[in-house]
Amino acid sequence: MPIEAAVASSEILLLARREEEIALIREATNCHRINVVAECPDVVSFLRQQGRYANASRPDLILLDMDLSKTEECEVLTEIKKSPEFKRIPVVVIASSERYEDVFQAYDLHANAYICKPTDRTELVRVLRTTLQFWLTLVRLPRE
Amino acid sequence: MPHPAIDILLVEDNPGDIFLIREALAMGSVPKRVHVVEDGEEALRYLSNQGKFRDASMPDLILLDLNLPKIDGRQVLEIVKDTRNLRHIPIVVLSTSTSERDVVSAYEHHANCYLSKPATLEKFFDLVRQLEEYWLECVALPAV
Repeated sequence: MPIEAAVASSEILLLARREEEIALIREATNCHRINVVAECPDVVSFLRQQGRYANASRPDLILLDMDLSKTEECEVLTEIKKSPEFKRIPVVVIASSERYEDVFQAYDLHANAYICKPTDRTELVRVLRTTLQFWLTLVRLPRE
Repeated sequence: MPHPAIDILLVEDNPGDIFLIREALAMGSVPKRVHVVEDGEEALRYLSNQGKFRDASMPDLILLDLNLPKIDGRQVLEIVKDTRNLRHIPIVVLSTSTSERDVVSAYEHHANCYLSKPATLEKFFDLVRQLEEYWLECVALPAV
């Protein structure tokens, strides 16, 4: 399945703060249907369909563009992975840090995969495309 | 930058599958050592450095079949992901089981991803190639 079709038929939740990164991910997937939230607490509100996310659909895949040295960001990962309702949803952490401690911590908190953000834009688009291609076309995802 | 060799623990009892997975992994450019154990009990001994595995290096990635002799792959997954000094090791489930119960339960026990073994050799080979490309070339593993 081509990546655009896979993305179009999947629900993806992306946590990203910077407009630039959101635009990049949209470019990588050629898709504007991705659900984007900008703050950590919104990830959980989205999953729980609270407040303005009352009509949110359950994501098939969660991408967290984050910095795990921040407590708040670790908390959101912990909260998803401890929740009986949501822990089965694969979470891919996308981060700038290549530090062993950060990579280790992400996996220790049960992130499904950790991607180091390449600084080169073209390379970043490639990595994002590969990630979406892998998770949405090859992996057997849990259905609800 | 040259990669240090990645240690992969393959937990698989089918000799044909072991052969195919080894061949497909060997095609990738990332240097690696593939260690094979053929049942769940051996896998746990390997991971706790018991007996002949006293000097075994901890794997950076585990490829786990579910239907295994002695101790089932489902139990191996549960034990590894409940053990403080092992739970950060990514586990890719590679199974012929397509049962939704197995898929959901694997993710609930924090399998990092679930791949169904395809029925044809060619597709299976291709799947392992893509697994290798993604997990070894794109993802950051918690490897020192």
